[in-house]
Amino acid sequence: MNKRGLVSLWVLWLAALAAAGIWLLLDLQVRSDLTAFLPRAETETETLLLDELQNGAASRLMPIAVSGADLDSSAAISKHMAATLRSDTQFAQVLNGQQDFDAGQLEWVMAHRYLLSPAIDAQRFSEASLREALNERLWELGSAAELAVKDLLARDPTHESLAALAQWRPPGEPDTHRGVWVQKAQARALLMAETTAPGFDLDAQAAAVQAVETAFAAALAELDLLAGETQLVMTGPGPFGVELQRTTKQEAQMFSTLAVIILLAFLLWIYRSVKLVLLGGLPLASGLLVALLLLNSGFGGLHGITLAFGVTLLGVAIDYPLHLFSHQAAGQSAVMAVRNIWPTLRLGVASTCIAYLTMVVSDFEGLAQLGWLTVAGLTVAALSTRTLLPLLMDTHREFDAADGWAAGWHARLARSPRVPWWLMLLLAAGLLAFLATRPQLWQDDLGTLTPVPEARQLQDHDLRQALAAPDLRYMAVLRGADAEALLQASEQLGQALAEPLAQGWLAGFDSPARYLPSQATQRERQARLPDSESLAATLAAAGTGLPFREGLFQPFLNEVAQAREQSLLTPQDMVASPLAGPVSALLRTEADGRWHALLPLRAVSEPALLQAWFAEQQSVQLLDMKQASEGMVAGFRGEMLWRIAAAACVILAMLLLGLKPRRRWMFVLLPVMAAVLATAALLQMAGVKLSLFHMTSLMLVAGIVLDYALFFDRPEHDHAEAVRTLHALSVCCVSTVTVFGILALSQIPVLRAIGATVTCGVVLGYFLAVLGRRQSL
Amino acid sequence: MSIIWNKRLACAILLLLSSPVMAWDAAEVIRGLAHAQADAARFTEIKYLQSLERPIRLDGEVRFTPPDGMEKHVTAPYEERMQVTNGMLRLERGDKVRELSLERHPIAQAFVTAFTATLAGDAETLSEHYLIELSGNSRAWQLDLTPRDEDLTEKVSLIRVTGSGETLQSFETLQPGGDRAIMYFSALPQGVLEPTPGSTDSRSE
Repeated sequence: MNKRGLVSLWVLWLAALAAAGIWLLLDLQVRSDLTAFLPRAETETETLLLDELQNGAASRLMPIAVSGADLDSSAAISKHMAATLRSDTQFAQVLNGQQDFDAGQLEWVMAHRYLLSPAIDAQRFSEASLREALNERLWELGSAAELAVKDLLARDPTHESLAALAQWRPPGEPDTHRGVWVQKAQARALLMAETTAPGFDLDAQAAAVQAVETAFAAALAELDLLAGETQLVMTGPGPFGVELQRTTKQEAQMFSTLAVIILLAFLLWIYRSVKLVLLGGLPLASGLLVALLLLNSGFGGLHGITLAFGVTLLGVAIDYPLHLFSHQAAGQSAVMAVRNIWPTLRLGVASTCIAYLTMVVSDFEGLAQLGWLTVAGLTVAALSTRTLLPLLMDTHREFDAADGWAAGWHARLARSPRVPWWLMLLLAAGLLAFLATRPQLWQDDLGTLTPVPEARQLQDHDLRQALAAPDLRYMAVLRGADAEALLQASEQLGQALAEPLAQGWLAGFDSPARYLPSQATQRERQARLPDSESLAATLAAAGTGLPFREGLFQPFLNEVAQAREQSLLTPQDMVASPLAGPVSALLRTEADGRWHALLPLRAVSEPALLQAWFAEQQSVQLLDMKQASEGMVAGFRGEMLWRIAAAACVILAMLLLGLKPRRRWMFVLLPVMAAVLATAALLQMAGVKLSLFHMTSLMLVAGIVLDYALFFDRPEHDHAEAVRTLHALSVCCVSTVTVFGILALSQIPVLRAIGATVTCGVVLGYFLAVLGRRQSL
Repeated sequence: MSIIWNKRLACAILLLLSSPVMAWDAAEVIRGLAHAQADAARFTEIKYLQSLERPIRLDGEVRFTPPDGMEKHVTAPYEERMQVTNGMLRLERGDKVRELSLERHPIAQAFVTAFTATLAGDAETLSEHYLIELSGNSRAWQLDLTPRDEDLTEKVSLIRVTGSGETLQSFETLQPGGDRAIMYFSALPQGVLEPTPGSTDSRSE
């Protein structure tokens, strides 16, 4: 190629990359929700589970603790913050122990008290019962409580509004100090915020977290408190997700910058050519940009995690130009060199891509994207290494990898013993047997997919316990065709649950019927309201001898008369009510128009008794969120294992087709299998349970080590070429170890898992490929 | 705030100018109460409520627990204990216990602040929350406390404290609707209760 052509190729390639980059900058939609990494639901239970995980109340709760210099200032901060956050539409509600109903909301309760009060039984408006109520009121008027209840007296002498409100008070409220929830031992005040956005909508959650931080800072400024002696703790899925995203981004940026610098320095030292090092980045950059463009248009956006992992996994593509650089003999044209290595490289790339294709059909949309990203990226990187890269390389060069340190290393490795294939097979089989018999091989806890540091989890646990917030592990699920049937069933189940409550292994439960009684119950209560004349007569009789002024209770008589004609509350009515939050969380419509009701159970101390009790109940299902989600992950993992097995068969078939003589497959595949299994075994022995992230990393290891084994097994070699191959693979191995070793230093469990797994696997693979070689090196 | 402060200052100056012979002022009266009050005092409280035909009479003992707490023990016509600590009001009758936060009940808060600050002789806190007006002479004085908080004046129009020298005689809370309650710490004046309190008898059943 002449000089002009060369220059125009450089310009065209770089211009295309720049254009793709600019396009992506303008158009790339990075979504930050984590739901794409949850599987697609197959069964009703899974649908429910996912719906709960994504939209349920649990994911929207944000426990908050604030501490000032002492309990007083903590309480003051809590009040200030609650006032600020209550006026913020990002929060459905903010509870801190202060009055949580405003005047308008209390009026709503007043207006519907005769439908909502659980105290209305057959005797409620009898003479004896009314007299008891009036005596009670008289006592209150004499006491300091007068001031609290005086306004209610004429309208609601039987205190139905307070009875209605009392049933909605959270069970087991925390201690209060100056009217707000506190944890006295830690001198801190507690709040519970509920965001309107689901916990997995990280952009919205980030805004909510920001709002809480701002409110906290404003409270400190208002109260003249120093930031040094105060503390704000936020937990829950939202803040955790935001933190995870923040730290992952920071760490990924920091570590990848560090890795690139070290890698560049290393490659510069190896190849002594700035131009080569720069060229080495082109296939990777091309692959990444093309893959991102394809995915962005194909999926209408990309998940943040896909992007981060994809870039990591595509790091293998840095190996492709390195093979070429190391294999170009002194005086040999780059085009010739690439022709020599292409069959081997092609086989490696094709096999790796097939392995990643198993992710493409994954139930996790995020993993499917990751699969497409790596397949597209690796293909483009390999093709550009084959076609464009050699054109830009120097036709003739002085450097020959066969002359340097690699010769000595080769001589040394060549003396290493050769492990016969059957021994390698035995090793792989032994490792497989070891792994298969491990009782705690897999980590199926969905929580570890979005890992939260243990200290933060403890904080969350502590806060939830102090706030008596539901742990939302066990839920009773009722299904039905309409809301009324479900509410009636909820009421019946609520009565039945009195038994376990009495036995003590269930601390409490919530129910949609607590907030919205069934029409039947409302009708029953309404029917118990006496007509005006008889109520007036009973009231007069009940008040005989008591000093209440004549006509004082006329508003009461009027409102009872109105309530007798009142239309009953429906789920639609609740939307605009102060109880909209709990009703919509516990009574839900499904896509097909069917309804389900959720009754979260609190503090179950005897799960076995619970299971047994529910087994006896009719038409109610007990949902164990943890078990169900673990079952889902396990199911997914099982499927993934089958796909990997299928991929292994396809790779085997390709090796049988691509390798001559055929028996070479075992010298290639056995070291790969041994390396992957040995890495898994090492992780196990270190006490690590294997998660989806480890599995993905192991697939990367398989792809990389397959390349090593293929290159070590190239038949067309003389001694110099063998040294060049060893040079290439050693450089590749050190590069990979550099990048992933740095990743293994991360504080983020996911990054650390990937880094450690790949580093360990690649080093093992390198030496196993040497030991399992078919021929002399 | 500063305007009110200036007004108060102006008032004080006017007062000083207009009565140069008076050797005592509101602050001095209030401070005098601090060391004069016994640990606990018997009281009789009469409540006149619009919703009732007859006033309510309560007898008992009241105790001030510095700095801002109090205990009110009603002994007749029934047994009841009220306790204020750390901004919480706790009410006990028989096995019934109620707790309320003073913040949520501004009227109770107003009463407690006025009561405890008066007994502590804390003129500063008192004038922070109330406009103070002194009348009478040192042998029979009257302090009229008007809440500075406008929201509060809708609930409590006036708190009137009377006394003689360093002795507190009565503590009265007036509400806008006409309801009022007076606690007497000495013998009842003639004719405050007419007819005699039988109204609360029914509750001792």
